Amino acid sequence: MKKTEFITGSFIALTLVVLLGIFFFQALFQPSYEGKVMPVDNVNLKNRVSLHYVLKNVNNASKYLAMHGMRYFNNRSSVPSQTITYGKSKNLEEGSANEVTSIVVNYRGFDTLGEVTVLFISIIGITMLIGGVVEKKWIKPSLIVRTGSKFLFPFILLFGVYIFIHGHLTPGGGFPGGAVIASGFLLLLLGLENYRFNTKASKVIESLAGLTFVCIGLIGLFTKNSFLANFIPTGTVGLLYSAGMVSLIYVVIGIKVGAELSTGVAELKEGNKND
Amino acid sequence: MISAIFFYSTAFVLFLIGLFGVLTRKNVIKILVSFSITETAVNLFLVTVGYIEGGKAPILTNTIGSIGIHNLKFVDPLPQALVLTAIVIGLGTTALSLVIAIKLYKNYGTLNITKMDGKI
Amino acid sequence: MIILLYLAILVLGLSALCAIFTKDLLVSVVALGVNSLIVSALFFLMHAPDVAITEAAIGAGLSTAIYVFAIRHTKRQEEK
Repeated sequence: MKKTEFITGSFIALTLVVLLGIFFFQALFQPSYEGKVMPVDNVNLKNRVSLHYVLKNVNNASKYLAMHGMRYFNNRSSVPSQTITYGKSKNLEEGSANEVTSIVVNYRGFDTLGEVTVLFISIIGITMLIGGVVEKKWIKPSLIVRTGSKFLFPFILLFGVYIFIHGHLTPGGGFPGGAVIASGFLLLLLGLENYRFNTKASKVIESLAGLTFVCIGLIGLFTKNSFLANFIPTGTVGLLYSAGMVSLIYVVIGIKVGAELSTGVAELKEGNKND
Repeated sequence: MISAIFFYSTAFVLFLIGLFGVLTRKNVIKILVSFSITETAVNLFLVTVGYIEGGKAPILTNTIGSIGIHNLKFVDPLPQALVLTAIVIGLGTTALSLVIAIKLYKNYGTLNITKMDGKI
Repeated sequence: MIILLYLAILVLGLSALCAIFTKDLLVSVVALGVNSLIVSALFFLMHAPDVAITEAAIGAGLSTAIYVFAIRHTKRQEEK
């Protein structure tokens, strides 16, 4: 390719990008028939669907919608709800203190099952395609690096487990916890020269975790008549033993994501001689 | 308190930079880096949709006490739940495309997409 | 506080431009990691601590590592 062609192409791309930018920014400031195109000021949680997730009255809202029809859309906040107090409210519809967790695992748990499946498929693709790639030689790590990585590894694992066990109370959960565990294995892969990641064992652990997820969903199907329904009583908001099956599922997701991401990183580092 | 316009503008500028990189770069790994920048910008945009000025993090703690229909102090948690899983999926797809890039390099001996046609 | 925020945005834009325009792929990947870290700080300012912790662990940590492994299997310098 000639240099002039490349410069012309870059110029056309720059023009396109600038035009798209003008389109975006005018959408930010232009008013539409009901307020702004993108809501910037006077945003209120009372006008959004997330209101019911936050106040934990989704079942009430669906009953209200079935009874009153279109009146629901004009006035969402007239759905009956109760005040939720930290450490006092008991036996709510969903008992986790972290609202993001309650959406990810409970209200939209089926989506999460799909996302975990997508991750599983992408790791299968990596394992299939990496054949024939051989690892290059690394410089031998020094004594300090070797000792330090051996010493730090259990603490990183402990931190990851802490993050996903407390997923329903504090920020975090299964996905970041699994990523922290995978970074612990990454430290071992970089710091110890003779370390080989046991791919077979990690695949077995990961499949067992996935099966457990589906089994928890099936128990909900047989006891409460819907897939991934909560079948354990939700305790007091803010205690460790609360939120029913949410903490259980987040532990399973943490183990699954940790095993999957460490398998992916190890396969990318080590390669595979067999084509 | 920071206005939402600020975060919207940041997300747009980042998205446009990433898009320019995807359109003009010739190295495969450079294109994947540009895709990563675009993906981060989209995540930033989605979280900004749920941002409310003066809201607090959507976690019920001892300091917040209680919430009801008349004192809603939270930002919108739904886009955050979406983005949380999207980031992890992004890592999986990035790793898969990097493996494809490695296989391309093994086959053609180059990462430049303009020199790849014809010889296998 | 607000000056610090503008400085962070400046570094964000510069790191994105650096990731795209540099010839050395390793520099580009490190700039991508810096970009992810600053975006994670922005998530925290938007009161999204869950997303911030995930972005810091994945975008700035694991993602950089897999890019570096891929560059080790291929070539570091971008050819003409």
